[in-house]
Amino acid sequence: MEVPAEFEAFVRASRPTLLRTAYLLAGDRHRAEDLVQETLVRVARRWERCAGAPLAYARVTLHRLAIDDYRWRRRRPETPVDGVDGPALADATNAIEGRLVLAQALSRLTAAQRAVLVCRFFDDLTEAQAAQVLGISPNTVKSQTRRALARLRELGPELLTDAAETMGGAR
Amino acid sequence: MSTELRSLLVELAQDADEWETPDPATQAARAWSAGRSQRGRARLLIALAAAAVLLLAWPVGAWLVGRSGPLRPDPPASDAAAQGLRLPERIARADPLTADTGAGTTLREYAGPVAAIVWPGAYEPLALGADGAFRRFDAGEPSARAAWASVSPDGTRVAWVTCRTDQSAAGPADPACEPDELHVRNLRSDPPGSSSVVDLAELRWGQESATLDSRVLRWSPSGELLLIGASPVGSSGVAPVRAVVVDDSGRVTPVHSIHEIAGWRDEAHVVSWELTGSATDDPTSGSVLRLRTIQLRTDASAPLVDLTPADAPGPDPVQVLAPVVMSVDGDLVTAAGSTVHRFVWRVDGRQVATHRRLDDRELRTLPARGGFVEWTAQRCLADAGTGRCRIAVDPRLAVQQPAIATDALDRPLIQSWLGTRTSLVFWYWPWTAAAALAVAVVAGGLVIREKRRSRERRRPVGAPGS
Repeated sequence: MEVPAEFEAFVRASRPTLLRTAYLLAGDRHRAEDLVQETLVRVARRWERCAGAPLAYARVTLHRLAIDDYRWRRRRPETPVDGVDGPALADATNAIEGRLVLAQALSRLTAAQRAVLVCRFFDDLTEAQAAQVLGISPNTVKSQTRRALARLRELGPELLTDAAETMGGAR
Repeated sequence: MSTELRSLLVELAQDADEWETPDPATQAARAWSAGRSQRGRARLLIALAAAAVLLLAWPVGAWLVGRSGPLRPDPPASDAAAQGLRLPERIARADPLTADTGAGTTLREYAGPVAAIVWPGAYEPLALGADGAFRRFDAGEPSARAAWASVSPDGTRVAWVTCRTDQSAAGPADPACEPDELHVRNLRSDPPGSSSVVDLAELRWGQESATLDSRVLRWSPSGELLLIGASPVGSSGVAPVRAVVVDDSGRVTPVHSIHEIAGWRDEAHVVSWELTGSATDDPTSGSVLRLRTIQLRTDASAPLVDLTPADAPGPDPVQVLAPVVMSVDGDLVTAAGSTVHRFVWRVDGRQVATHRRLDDRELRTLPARGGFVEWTAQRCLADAGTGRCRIAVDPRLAVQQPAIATDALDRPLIQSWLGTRTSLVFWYWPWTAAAALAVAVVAGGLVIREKRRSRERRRPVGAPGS
């Protein structure tokens, strides 16, 4: 089956971005790769429809797949997820440890909370844009963001030294 | 905004840049192939589901529409005698071959009109009553059986010829089936069930014995008289055919000057035709199709009239007609043969029209009022003019050619929610519906399986069952 050059160019250009987002959403390399692959399959399936803005479609698909994946794993827990006590987080005294603490903290958020954080603070989307990507209302984005930040603050206080500013600065 | 959180997120995400990932072209090819396959499967499933829904919904909808009434016109209030004579739009199998036992399975117990006669394959003819049930003709004695039959235009009189044979499976065309008796039954309610039997061994023209051979049974327009073809005993196939007329009481009157029987012009006259100078007699001469009108009471014959088919193809236009099937309706005589043309003359020999038959494949023409109806390869009785299928006959009956009570063709048909569709899908619609249901179930199962597989593909590595 011959692959259109446009699709191949899209994969080449968007894969790093999608992989980074997927890693933040999934917190695991293999899951992130699976998510990206499945996202690309979905994009290929609807290539004619989404050829105008494939990256936007891929982003929406990636987020929703990540939420589905989280829900699936939640029904079949293999590792502690939201609300479950896990091992103590590392002390974020330097940059590497800060990333490690963030990764561990993110893994203890719900998929929706992770998704809003990624949309708002990594993809730099507005509340309205995040709501559109996640398929929820802007108010839900706002409340999920608030809960996510509160949870992060609880799990790693040193991660959010300017939490008040964070809440106030949310657009 | 938390610049610290953002920078941490960016730093964390940059870990992904260091992973070893497959070549983008390979990944694109894999994704493309999987995506297009999924799309193809999804479309196939949707198409199957849509087809199944349509197949299931259509008969139900048609049934509901049929119940609402407009498809079932009431018969006209006038003509009470013919009130019950209606043909079904679909002559479907009602298990006629097992209907040979029990009460009500022969014409002896039946008092209504007969709408049609069918010959299911090589078996005996069966009468289709106006009540929609098939009945056998009474053979009289166990060693005899009905071979061929005819029904009067109004369906209230039937005639059938029995023959004696030891070959119980022999068909009507079997030469071993020697004509034995002619049965004529009156199915009118008053008097009910009266019948007469003519011993065909006693057929006579004066001192000359005759035998029934042409198997032509033609009822007069009123149904009072029956014209049957016969030949002198021992005559060869080229000898003139003669005929007898049987009246209501079973009295037999010979018709001497008749040749091949065309039909009844009216109650007092029959029309005969003959083909002379045929290729058999003289290959160098052209053939001539001639017509003769015979006055029954006096046995007087009008002069022969030559019929010349205009616009007929070939050097010998008459030959293209053979074998000729003729039909008479008042002053009009219609002839159809093995070619794709049909010719209409007046009885005085003036040609009225030349029609091209609609279909030249496996067609048989049946004399009817106003010309012909055509028995098509789709087992359909079609209007000769338009080719529109009017009555569809179940292929499971294996009917070669039905005989129709011609009055019934002028009356509204008993309509069916399946119409006159002749596709096997419609004859076997319960099985079709069951198959559609099965397809729907399979399609649904495939959709569910596809969804499960899709979830499985997204299942995280290391999850239980992965």
